[in-house]
Amino acid sequence: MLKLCAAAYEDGYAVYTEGDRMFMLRPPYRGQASIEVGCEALGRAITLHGFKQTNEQFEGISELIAHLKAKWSEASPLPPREAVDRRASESLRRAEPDTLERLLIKIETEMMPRKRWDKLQRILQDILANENLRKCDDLYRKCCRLLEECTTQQNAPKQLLDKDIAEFKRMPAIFQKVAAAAEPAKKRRFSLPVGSRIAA
Amino acid sequence: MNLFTVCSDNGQRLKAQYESGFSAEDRAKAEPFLEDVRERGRLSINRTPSHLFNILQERIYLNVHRFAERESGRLGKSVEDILHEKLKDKWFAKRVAFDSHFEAGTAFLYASLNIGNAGALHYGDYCIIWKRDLHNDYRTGYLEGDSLVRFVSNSNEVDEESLSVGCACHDTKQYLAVHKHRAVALSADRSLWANCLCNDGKEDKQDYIEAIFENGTGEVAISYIEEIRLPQENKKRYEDTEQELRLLDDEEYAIFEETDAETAQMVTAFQKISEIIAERGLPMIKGIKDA
Repeated sequence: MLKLCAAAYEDGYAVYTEGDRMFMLRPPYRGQASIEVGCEALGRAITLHGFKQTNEQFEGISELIAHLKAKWSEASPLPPREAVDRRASESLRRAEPDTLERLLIKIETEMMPRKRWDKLQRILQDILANENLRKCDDLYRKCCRLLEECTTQQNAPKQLLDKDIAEFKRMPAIFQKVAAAAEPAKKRRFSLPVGSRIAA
Repeated sequence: MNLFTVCSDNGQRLKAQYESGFSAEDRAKAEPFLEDVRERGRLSINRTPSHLFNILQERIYLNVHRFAERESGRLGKSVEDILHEKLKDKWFAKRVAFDSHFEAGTAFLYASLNIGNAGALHYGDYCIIWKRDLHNDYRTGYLEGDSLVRFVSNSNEVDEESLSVGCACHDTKQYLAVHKHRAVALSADRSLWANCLCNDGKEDKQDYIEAIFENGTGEVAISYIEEIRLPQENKKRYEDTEQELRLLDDEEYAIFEETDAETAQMVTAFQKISEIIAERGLPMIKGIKDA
């Protein structure tokens, strides 16, 4: 049986006892989330660090964590996605060179393979707007190169689809050719441009 | 009783004890440690994300008495009721007993002595580091351990005798540190120093040198913040994740929020703090590598 002695519910932090041992717990709740502490930790948490004293009991650590997560969510509702995206954009515009360097590597190796070109473009444009980038020639060139690649990749499939449609319209009666042209388009999951009409 | 006079007197005694009690060879070994504490020593306090955000938003850090006074005015309750509600029984009694024992005790602000790490993370991921020139405006004393545990009995009496031999002032804090951590101070392994002075309890038990500072007001403006530290691995994770999230479509984002609410909470808290730090003109969050 665990006894929750104090918590900062807005952030998911807790002080609890199990028998005569005292622990502190903080997110993320995996690995070494709990550490054993002395009795002074509880007093310090309450008198100096803003934890609120509580007195609740739980069967085990899973139940305690579930309780903390629920309270955390209630005390600190997540902001709307727009706010998260806006802050991420602003964060890039003021990031320091070492952060930009790391993110550019991550963009090239991990994020570009996901082919979300329009979203990647926005991220790279934010990096480009960072004044720190202009002080680092290598990073600036890398950012420009990646942005160019995103733009190229973003335009390429649309051009191919236009070509498919044009060819389809020329030879509607040739089933095999139509099927062969249509198949890659279906696989790409692009919708046809507004106003397009397939000739009967 | 004037805490800072006691700290000053004992600090001189600790200095003399060091000079006579350490051999010349040991003093030579310990000198880099003393220098580190003297020059890099700062006051720090760990805060959870929400508590830090509130301090930055209000532009001020209040001690528990000033907080109670403010809330008293706002809520129409007595200061004592607010304090009692905030601190509850045992800790309320000890805190009040300690603070009221000393001149200007209700204006005391508390911190830990820190020489370069991210502090005691289990009280909060974010570590506020106060500027060195804070000491020009605030009297500062250092105690060899937690004031409420070491120097206040269970019957709420302040143990003046123990306190008077376990404290130092700002100019002599390094002597308190070298006596408390003699073996580490004599070790050439600098990587041990920061965590030995102020640690998160990973090695053995949580330990710190407690700092008490005051200027009569019980509050300190955020303009005294030198920097805000966060473990480097956390800072990188939050920075990377907030950009990765931008790649998700709305449905994927909703699934992420539902399945990994912890990460969502920590990243959005980091964002809010970074934003208000920028608004307040403070230095950006500094990632600190774990020793």
